[in-house]
Amino acid sequence: MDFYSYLIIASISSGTPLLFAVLGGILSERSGVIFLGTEGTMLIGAVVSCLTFAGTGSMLLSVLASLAAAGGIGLAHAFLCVTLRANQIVSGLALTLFGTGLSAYLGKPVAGAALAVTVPRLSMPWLEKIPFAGAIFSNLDVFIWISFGLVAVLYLYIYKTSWGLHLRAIGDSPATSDAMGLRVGLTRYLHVIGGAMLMGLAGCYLIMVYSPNWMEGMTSGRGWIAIALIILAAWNPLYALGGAYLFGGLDALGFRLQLMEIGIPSYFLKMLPYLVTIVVLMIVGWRGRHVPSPEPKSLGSAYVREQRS
Amino acid sequence: MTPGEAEVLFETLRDLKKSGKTMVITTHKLKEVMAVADAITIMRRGKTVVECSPESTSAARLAELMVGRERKESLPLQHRQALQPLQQLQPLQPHQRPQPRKPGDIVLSVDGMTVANEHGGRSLDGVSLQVREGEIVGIAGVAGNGQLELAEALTGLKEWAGGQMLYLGKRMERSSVRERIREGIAHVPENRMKSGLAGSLGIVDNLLLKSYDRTERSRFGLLRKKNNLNWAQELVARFDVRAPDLESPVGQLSGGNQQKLLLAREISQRPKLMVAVHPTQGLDVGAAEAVHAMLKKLRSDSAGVLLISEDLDEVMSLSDRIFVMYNGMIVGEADGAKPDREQIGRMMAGLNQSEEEAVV
Amino acid sequence: MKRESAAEVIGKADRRKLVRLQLPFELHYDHLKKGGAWWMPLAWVLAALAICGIFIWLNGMNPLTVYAKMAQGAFGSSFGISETLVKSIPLLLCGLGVAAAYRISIWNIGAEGQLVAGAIAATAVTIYMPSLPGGLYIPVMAAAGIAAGAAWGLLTALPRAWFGVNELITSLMLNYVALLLLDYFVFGPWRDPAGFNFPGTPMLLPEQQLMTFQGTRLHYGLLFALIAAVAFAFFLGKTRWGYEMKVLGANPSATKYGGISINRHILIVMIISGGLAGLAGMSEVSGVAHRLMYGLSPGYGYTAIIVAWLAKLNPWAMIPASLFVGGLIVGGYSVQTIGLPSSMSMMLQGAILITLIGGEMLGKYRFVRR
Repeated sequence: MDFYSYLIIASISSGTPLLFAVLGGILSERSGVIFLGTEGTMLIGAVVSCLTFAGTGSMLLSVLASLAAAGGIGLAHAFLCVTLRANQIVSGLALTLFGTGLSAYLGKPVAGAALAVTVPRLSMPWLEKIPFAGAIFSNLDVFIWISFGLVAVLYLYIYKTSWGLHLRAIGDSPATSDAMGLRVGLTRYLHVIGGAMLMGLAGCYLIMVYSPNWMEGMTSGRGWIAIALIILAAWNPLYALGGAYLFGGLDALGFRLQLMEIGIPSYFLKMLPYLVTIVVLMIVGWRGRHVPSPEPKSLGSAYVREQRS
Repeated sequence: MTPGEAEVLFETLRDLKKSGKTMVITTHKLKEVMAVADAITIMRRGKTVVECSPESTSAARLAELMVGRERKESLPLQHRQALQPLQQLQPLQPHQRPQPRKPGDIVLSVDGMTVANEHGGRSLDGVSLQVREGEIVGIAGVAGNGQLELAEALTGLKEWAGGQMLYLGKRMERSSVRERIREGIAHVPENRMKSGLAGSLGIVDNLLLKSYDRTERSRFGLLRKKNNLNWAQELVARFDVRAPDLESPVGQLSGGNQQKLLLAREISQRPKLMVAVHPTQGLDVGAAEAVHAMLKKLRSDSAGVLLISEDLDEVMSLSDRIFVMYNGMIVGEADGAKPDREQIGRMMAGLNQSEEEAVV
Repeated sequence: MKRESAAEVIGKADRRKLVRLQLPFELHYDHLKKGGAWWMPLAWVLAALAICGIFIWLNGMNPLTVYAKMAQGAFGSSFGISETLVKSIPLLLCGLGVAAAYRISIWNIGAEGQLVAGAIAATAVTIYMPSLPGGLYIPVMAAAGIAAGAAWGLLTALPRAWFGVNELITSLMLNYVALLLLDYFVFGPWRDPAGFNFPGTPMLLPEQQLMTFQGTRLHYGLLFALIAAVAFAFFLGKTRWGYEMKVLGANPSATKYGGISINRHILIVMIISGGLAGLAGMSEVSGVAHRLMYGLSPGYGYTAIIVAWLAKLNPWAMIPASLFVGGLIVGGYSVQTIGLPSSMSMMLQGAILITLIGGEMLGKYRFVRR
């Protein structure tokens, strides 16, 4: 395989945690709740799956444990934002802080120790016959295939089912949906928790596959990039795929450029994903300035039944 | 809705009734109630006041019950008289109209106003009108035909794609909102809590919104607290704004008092042009009368008033001249003193006087 | 999702009525009420301490002894108090800055990056202007710090004002960029050649360091912070600008209608935010570390968010709030000796913020006699 195939595989691998996180964020924001705790939730997902694997050796249990832990954070956020009507932005920030601190605390015993984990791969050597693309897909791990499936499932769910229609209605106008009999609160709870679980899965993937070595703050801002990607993807799971791999690619490219020693200090190469995020958001903002935004219109506001206006 | 459309709705409701459905309608439009209802319930302050049927009562009686006997006493004398002969809900008799004055100089002259909308079309297409000192110009029309955009374009909240605006002789279509406020253009927006007032702030802060940078309210960048407090108290008394105190959030005031507060703020600027959009929306009869009184006072103080309202009765009872808007254009004019309701209704529906087909 | 029919909703309401107690008063939710009494934040802090106490207990330690040790470390000795004050200086400065932005719902979480930018600029003065007359160093460094921080803040404000880019994300991204920039300088061109590979610049000269109070580590940056707090309170309460901020925070639609420019305020607020954080960065370099080094800020920019929220964005309340959180950090260091990681204080901070915002809603209920 050549440089570019390796690069694409590396992009997919690097982009998969982003993809899970973005899909989770889309679920939550589609119901109208903005969840900024992505970074903290990913870290909790990572540390919990790491600890569970170190203790039990079972991949399945590790994944389930990280889903449960992340779901717990989602539950907290949903409770704060939906029931207690707290400021959604500050709630997410607080959960990130809390999650970051908690994960550092829990991860102390396993910090720096390499995790001896092998992730099952879906090996299809017959695919290698297909030029170029075949080599890429012939040996990807199961998580990546799950992520592909998830994109399809979520796309169909949001745009092609009546549940998805209800979800979009609640996200755009909870007052109207409530008057129609839809359960606004329950929907928001379910989608915030579900979204958080996906973010936990992202963290789980990060440590199980990408970098099997727990370190404090190992997500390095991926959670925040994922939040930006939700906007870039226009809250659409299909575009999320493209966005996640684009940024995964930047990450992988930066890494390779460092190895190739082309004279740019590594620090500036590492800045690439962050700067590109800003620039791309600016372009999207400029292009979309005369068009109504695809953002769910009730995003960020608490729904108070007595205050319908 | 146009009068014609309203009649179609009532027919539909009567049909639904024949097929066995039960309907509950909430409204404060007495005409609708008398036209359609079999049973009427009047509510005040969350309690039922009376239940009756249309045969046993009249619109006048309903109005009394809605307002409540005690309130009637607090209205100024000439308005109490206006309430009584409400039997047929016709426009006010000539001797009760605001005395027609000889309108003065042109305050506002708009020529060919064009405003683009979000989807590439035009929400206003070549609108031209004039408002003089001492007159109330009414804009009638079904909601959504460009009235809001008209108000926003005049007050600087929307960009003009074409046309010109002369205010007191000055070209103002490109002026900022601030400049227009300074020159004396007042605006009562259609949604007072969304655009006009800050619900969580108190009365003083809300009154300051348009004048806080004038020297009477602030000097060298510092607000003159004591001064402003007195000024606010004066305004509250003059405009009869009922509130527990000056600091309580205005979101807690009743709709009528909020609107009176808003008008107090606008009128205290001594404007030469007042753009009032749906000024009595959501107000009870007493508050609506008070608002109408304020607009008439502006007129008699030689300001020009542009009254934009969905409520045709309101437009017909207050205006000296009436323009009808349809589809972003002015499609007709009517005399305020002798308005022809049917003709106006047809214009609102886009039916031209000379043609039978609807204007597309 | 199954929809409830009208009959089911009414039935549920009826059943609930049967169960409810007939108390002599009711709780009414008033969305306009300005949050609860002043002591409510204290109550929420106690709740947060309790929650974290559970975690501590689950780890086999007595939460009360842990908290006592933290309090002892932070306030129990003159060394402790001066350390707490040292920590509270950047917290107060950054807290004031982010509070200014939050008052108009501009979610600036870039205080960390703005602080670092100010630190880098202040250090640059010492490196590239070696022959300034001694007394001028501090003012020039302070000016450089403020300017750099303000510029970093503008980098967040301009995309927001011109392109509508969410400032939360931009400011966050810029934090990472600033930290990488810091790494570049301290590992690279500015590294102290005689420093045994320590990632930092050479020590600053005495005239480049902020003076300290007699015998302690507490430096005159404290004055910067206190003056900033007073100035902030004054401008907010008494000036036209403060009035515009009030209206902008209460109802942004009304400001457009009143002719107040939102974009202008976004720029002003981010310049203030960034400038204050930059000043904090300068004072950390000049007054505390006496050099630019890796790990200059243990997350002051993020912690400042909690300080601001704890103080309900009020400048006067921010003084005790920054002292309290400063004490938390110092206390966190002091419990490392009994085996708890310093990230303990980050957990506590997060927990406090959570209980604070969760509790805000409870403050909007009022008792009404039946």
